[in-house]
Amino acid sequence: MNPVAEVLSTVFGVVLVGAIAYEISQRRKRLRELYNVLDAEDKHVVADLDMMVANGQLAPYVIG
Amino acid sequence: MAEDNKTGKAPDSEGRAVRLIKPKPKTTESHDAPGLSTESQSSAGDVAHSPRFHFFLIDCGWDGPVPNLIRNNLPMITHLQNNDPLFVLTREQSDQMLRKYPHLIGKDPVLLARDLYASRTDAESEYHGFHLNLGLIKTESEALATIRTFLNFLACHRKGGNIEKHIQEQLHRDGIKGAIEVLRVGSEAMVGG
Repeated sequence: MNPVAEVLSTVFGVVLVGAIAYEISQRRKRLRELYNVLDAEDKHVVADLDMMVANGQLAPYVIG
Repeated sequence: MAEDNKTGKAPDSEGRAVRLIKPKPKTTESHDAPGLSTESQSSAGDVAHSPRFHFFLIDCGWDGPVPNLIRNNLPMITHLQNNDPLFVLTREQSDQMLRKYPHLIGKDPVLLARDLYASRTDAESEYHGFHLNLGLIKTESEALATIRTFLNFLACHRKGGNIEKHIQEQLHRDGIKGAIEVLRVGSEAMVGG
């Protein structure tokens, strides 16, 4: 096999694998943004909401 | 979304007040989470008959197809989740939350599923549930599909002890299997599947 063609094939393969990995990473990032776990960053949000329920500021939604 | 929580009325899509019926505060179905020990259940008191989730909708009132979609489908959330309570914040309450927590701006309407088992079983854990950031979705069809996936996931895993692991595997699509699924869904989208 021509050494130039071999190098080109290798480079093309590396670029292809890199592009797939990047695409997977981007889509996972989007999924994480969409379905985000409530973790340490959100614990104050959760605490506030729990307090609003406990204080009676929020009542359960009822189906009409 | 303007709503009067005190009177138990919520506006419909055209902003009119709708008379509402109170949901059952507790379900009779057993929630025997396999991941929970007997000790943790007994220490949690009434875990077996308590709701698994408290749902919250934080919605500042954006006008668009995706916000309107969630407002019109609120009954589906409680109906498909064993009547676990759903708390809809008024526009003023939502505004206050976003002012206090600006990282939520641009992501609302946010449907937040507060996992009550998380705090009852492990006070040290930083997992409190998860939220669906509907404001990041651009099209109505994608939003509807996402809400369905979200509700399906909750319904299938509501009895599970370690729901966080399932979130990573199925919703975040971690691991090799998840990577294949990401590529499969992506290629289906490209060919309009």
